[in-house]
Amino acid sequence: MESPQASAAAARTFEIPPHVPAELVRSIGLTDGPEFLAAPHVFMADLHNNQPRIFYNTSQHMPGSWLLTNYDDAYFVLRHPEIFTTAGATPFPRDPNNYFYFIPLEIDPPDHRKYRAILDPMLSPKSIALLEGKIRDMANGLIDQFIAKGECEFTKDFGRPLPVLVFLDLMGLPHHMLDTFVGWAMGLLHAQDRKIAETSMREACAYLATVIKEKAQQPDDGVISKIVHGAARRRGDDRPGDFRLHLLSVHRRPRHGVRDAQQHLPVAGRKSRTAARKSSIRRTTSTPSSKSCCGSTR
Amino acid sequence: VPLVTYIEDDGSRHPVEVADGDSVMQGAVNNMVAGIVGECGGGLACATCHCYVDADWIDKIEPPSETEREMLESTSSPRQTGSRLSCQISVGAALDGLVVRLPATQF
Repeated sequence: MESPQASAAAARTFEIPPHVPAELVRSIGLTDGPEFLAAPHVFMADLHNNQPRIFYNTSQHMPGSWLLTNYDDAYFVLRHPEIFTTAGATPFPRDPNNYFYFIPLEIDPPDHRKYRAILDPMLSPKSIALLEGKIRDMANGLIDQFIAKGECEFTKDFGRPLPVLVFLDLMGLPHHMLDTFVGWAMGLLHAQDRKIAETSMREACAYLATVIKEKAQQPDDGVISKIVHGAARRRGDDRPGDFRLHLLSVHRRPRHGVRDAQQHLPVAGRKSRTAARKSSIRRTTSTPSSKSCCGSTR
Repeated sequence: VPLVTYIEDDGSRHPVEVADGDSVMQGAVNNMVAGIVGECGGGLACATCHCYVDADWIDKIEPPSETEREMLESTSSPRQTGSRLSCQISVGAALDGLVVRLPATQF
């Protein structure tokens, strides 16, 4: 945990609303502090002991937010969209004159369900299970590129490209976009620079606008094409035509639309998947009982 | 306190006292019953709390909503008679003795 002095210094650089009690203002270095980076599992577990049930976060990641450390409290928040909202919950920069929400993450119920109903069949446990063979092939392909060396830089050589390749396949996008998508994701999530993040977002938007046009003319089995063509529209919707039109009317800058859904897709799951993969391999290689199955890693 | 018995795919039985008002999913997750994941925490968004309600109990439970029926089409293990998402079954005195069987996998 950061020292009280460090917390106070962080708080000074961030305007704390007057209603926030001073004793609940904390800067804990969530996701970027040295203690988190050194041992994320321990860091998260210790939050229960070292922090109050609710505190006001001034860390670099999502400053100005209330953080909950108790399961029951978090469960209550998640189950009461009439009180709490996810609008604006993602930290990605957007043009205020052309603002859009990330779908479905930033859409509260009941509209949330409409978009989930489109995406769920394509991303459900059943659908993803069908991809297992293909994902294994991709993993083997990546391993083949460094197996002769006997070592790898795990994040760069495996942890980062695998989820991007899976994502590209799922979306119906070409594998040669791998490095470009990795660059956008890094710019949006890790550059810690607003201009870089804005440039990444702008470029991703422009690319996806082009892809949407292409998929409209040349349908395929990818998720983007299915959304564009409304093939997976909500079953039983009494206004399927309107619903599909709503999804496709990107040129009218709708509040929620197909572009919005796909704006989230360039980063969807890839940060968390990459982080999960890194964390799991780190834990595996640093736990004596698990090491024997890993061989030599770097 | 209502008693719910979870039967894993390998036949392991887990009788669990589930707090009144908690869901069958919460009863499993809070008591470390393997076979129920409940990845989304009960938001009807993941279909990883799939269970098969024992035939004797199917009619004693409120039928699934339209959204639950849609999500049941996305489960990894086959949908069968009695298939439900356990996050949508609220436990109360009327379900004391409920028996649910768990699928081989949720993914």
